[in-house]
Amino acid sequence: MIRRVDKLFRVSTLRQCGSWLLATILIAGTLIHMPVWADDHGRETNPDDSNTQHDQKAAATLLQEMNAAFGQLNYDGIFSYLNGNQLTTLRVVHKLIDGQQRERLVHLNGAPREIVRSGEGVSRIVMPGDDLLALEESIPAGPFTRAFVPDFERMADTYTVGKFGQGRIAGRMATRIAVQPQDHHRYGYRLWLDQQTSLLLRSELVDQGGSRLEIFMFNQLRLGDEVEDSALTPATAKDSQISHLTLAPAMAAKAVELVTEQSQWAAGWLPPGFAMAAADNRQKPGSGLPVSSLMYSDGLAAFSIFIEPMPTYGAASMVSQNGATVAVTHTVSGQLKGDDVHFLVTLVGDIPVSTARQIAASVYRETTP
Amino acid sequence: MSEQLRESMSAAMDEEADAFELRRVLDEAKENGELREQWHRFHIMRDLMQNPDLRYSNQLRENIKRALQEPQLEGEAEEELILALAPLTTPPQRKKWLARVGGTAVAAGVAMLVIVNGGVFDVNESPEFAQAQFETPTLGATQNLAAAPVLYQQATELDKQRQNALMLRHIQQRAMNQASMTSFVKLATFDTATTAPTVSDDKARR
Repeated sequence: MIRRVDKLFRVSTLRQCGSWLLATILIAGTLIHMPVWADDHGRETNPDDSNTQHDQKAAATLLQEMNAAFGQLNYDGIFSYLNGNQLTTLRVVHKLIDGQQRERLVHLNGAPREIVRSGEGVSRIVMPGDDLLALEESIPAGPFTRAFVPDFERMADTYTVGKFGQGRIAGRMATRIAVQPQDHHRYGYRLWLDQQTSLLLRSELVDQGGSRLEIFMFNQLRLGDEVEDSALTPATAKDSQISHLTLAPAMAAKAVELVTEQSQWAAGWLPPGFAMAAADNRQKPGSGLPVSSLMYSDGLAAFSIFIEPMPTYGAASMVSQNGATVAVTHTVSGQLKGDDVHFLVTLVGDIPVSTARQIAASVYRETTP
Repeated sequence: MSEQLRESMSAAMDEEADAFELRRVLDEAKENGELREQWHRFHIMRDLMQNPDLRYSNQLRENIKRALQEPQLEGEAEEELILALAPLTTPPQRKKWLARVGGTAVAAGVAMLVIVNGGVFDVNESPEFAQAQFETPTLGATQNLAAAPVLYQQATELDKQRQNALMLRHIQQRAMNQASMTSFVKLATFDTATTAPTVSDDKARR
């Protein structure tokens, strides 16, 4: 039996919790009118019992603690990741050494890949022949923009949070939290947090119909002193190729504002709570053609819009979806200063297809005075 | 409008029309205002029934359902629908309707832009473009587009690769900003082979 969540509380208390969502959110879930869960034993959770004001505040506190746990705990675990119809298994090792976060993520199925992180430095290791390399060569290179400036004022208007009973993941007792959007333009999240450490043990991202688009779940987990330093060493093989991903230097808030204001492109319509977080112009490798990109965020969900000149050989208007990530491409065509001009607009993000289409369709180029 | 033309248009809506039929509908639409309006109404009806996000009255939805479920009332129901949809298909009212939905449903829900072999069939206008003085091509502009790049209906491998690359760029950008274990999962598992269950935009509308 599906019941409706009646008592959810606003996220206002989360405004103090810094970047808790930075850690959370790739994966997890609930939605508008999110069905109440059955608990892990099949019993239906009664919101009247679990959503007292006390528990609601406790949920917010838990989310803050979850963020801290991601960065401060030492852990070594095997987890499953379901994205759409693709199920993979990965190992993660995280350790705080001399105050610096060290992390290693190993893809255990398919193409051998590792991601190694030391502070803000991130390296990706792949084997020759991995299609990822060829794909990467076709997109603009360079440091990534610092784009996520948390704005909890906006987020408080678009999400609510509730605490819903408990469950058991990887042999550990967990408290369950629901992050629920207040409209149908974004997805929600269900989180299972370890009762002892607040580490995220499981998360789900669920669409409006209740379908789980992505699931992340630990199967095995070691904590604390059990995690050895040697587990952070990447298993590089002969001929493996290493690439380094970097973030652009932090910009002052006013500089970010200036860059976004100078962009010639903008979305004519956005769902409530979304605002531009970054904009830049780069050149495509090889062709040198300009690619403008815009990034928008509501503090939790995010999407990018890329605008490039229509290739001379044409292109297709198309929609792709991989799990929760959707990509919508269409054209903006018309006359500008007497010339026919054609651009490809591509939106990529973890938002519902209908919303992505609406936003992509509203993208326009501002006329220079 | 001839019954044959109506059937061709219906087939085109269902993507069952062959290239000849589709060409015929598009050519006819250039000259036939009634056909353009009918085509527009069909798309509104289809989008209305398939997209619950669009904000129309429940009565309108019910009328469309009834028309679809009771074939014997087709003629009468269709007339009712034409009347009901009329405010959405005449420019002044349509502008008002577009304003009500935030000016966003233009291409997303209702507008239909089909470009086949350089021919353009555009039944709507984006207010955003109008504001930016950046005009959407219209039927009258088709002759100028003979040498223009073509928007194909079928995605090629190149199209899929381009979209995949941008998907990867977004995932990288997001991962670098979030810098947590969960944010890197998508990057580590990005599968270039399975990330393209791609459908053409028009199919995706259905």
